Amino acid sequence: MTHRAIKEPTFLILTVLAADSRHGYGIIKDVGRLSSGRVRLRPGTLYRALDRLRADGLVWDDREEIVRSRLRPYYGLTPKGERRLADEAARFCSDAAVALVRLGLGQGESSATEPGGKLCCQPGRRRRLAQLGVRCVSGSIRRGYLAVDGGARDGFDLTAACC
Amino acid sequence: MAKRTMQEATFLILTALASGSQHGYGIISDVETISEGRVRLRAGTLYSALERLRVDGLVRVDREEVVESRLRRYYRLTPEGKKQLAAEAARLQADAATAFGRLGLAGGRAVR
Amino acid sequence: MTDTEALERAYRRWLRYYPKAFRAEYEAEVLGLLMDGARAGQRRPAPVEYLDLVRSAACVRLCPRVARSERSVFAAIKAMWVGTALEFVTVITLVATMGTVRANDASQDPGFSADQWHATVAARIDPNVIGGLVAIGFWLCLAWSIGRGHRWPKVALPVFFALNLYGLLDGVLHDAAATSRPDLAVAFVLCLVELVGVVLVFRAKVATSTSRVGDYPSLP
Repeated sequence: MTHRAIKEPTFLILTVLAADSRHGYGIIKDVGRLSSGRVRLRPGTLYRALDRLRADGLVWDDREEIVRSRLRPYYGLTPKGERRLADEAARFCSDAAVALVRLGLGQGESSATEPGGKLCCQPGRRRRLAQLGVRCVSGSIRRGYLAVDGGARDGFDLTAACC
Repeated sequence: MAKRTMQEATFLILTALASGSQHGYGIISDVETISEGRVRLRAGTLYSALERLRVDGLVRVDREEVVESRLRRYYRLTPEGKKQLAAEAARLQADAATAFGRLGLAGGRAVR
Repeated sequence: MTDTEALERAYRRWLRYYPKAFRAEYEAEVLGLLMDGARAGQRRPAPVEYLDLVRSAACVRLCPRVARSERSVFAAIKAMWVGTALEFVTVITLVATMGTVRANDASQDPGFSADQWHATVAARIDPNVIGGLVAIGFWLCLAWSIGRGHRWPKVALPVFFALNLYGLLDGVLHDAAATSRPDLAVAFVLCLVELVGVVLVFRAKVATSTSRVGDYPSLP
């Protein structure tokens, strides 16, 4: 399934909702926390994204709660949304892996030779990802450190974070 | 780490150049392979992107060749370009790890 | 003329949308790429190819050409867009409230005629609308120019700021009765935006050698 590239704020919204339903303000706070303050979601962006996600059937209105005498809708991830998030996460992982392998950081095979599949690393994950509709191909990325300009360590720990 | 996230076309072009120097046509076909057919760069978009990347100091011209009376210019990544590509890859990995953790997939970092 | 020659002529015509310096650097390459990708017997570029070339040429001409690490420059451009938006809102408001102004004037003066209205428009409304449109053009020029690393915004912006500040103070001190609160508020915010722009433009240390299309020998 090929979609247009997902934008990072949308991806983070799906990630936040993957664990638990949230209301708007909760989503904004969690996105800020997950991205370590890098992504500051504005209400306008949030509700535009939620609108599109609901139209695409990835997010649904879970319930409403009264918080401080105001009715707040809580949003949750649909099964389709779960599948989409898994697919996009695997694609991120795969894209990153291709780039890192090509840069000569981390060892493994680039997934560029096997179209349609993604480098998903651990076998334990493959079955669950297959359930979610993500096809995995063989290959692995092991730990690597960033070496630029002939060996200087930059402190990026490329622990195979996906794996 | 770069604060702004990279556009997809930029990331793909940098990845295509990550394995060595390439000329325009090579970059386009490599990008198509990497993106599994999803992104087909056209000449205009590619060259305005390459121009942009040269101004930003991420790409440089490697060498020029004349093949069948056509000019072929090869481009390569600069050290800064490699660094930014790696940073973007690290960001993608981190985002993916968080998502896997939240989806309850084994091995991911569960972040609450 | 063979198919190939016809196609090449067509591509060359569309490549003319790019600036001369860009063409001097890349035209041979781009043309080679376009011709290599052509189908047998193709005489004209496909519509999607036209679109791609036009869009790309527009970006090469208009988009900022300063290295992305120059944060001050991009912040200054954003400030220029804020100024544009404010002026645009002002002009729209002026035009939209014309009807109210006319009704107001008519209610205050029983013998208010159409000729009087036209005179009012010419004297009070038209100059402001035209001034607003000129200002919009000026903000946009500044946004483009700052993005290309030109030097003249460093002169033009402070002058612009000084003029607007004078107008604002004049409105506050001398004409307080005639100038409305919203007008003063907008004028004040515009002055603020211009001041921010001046500070940012002077903070930017742009390496002008890479920011002008045409300095290709210095680009690695």
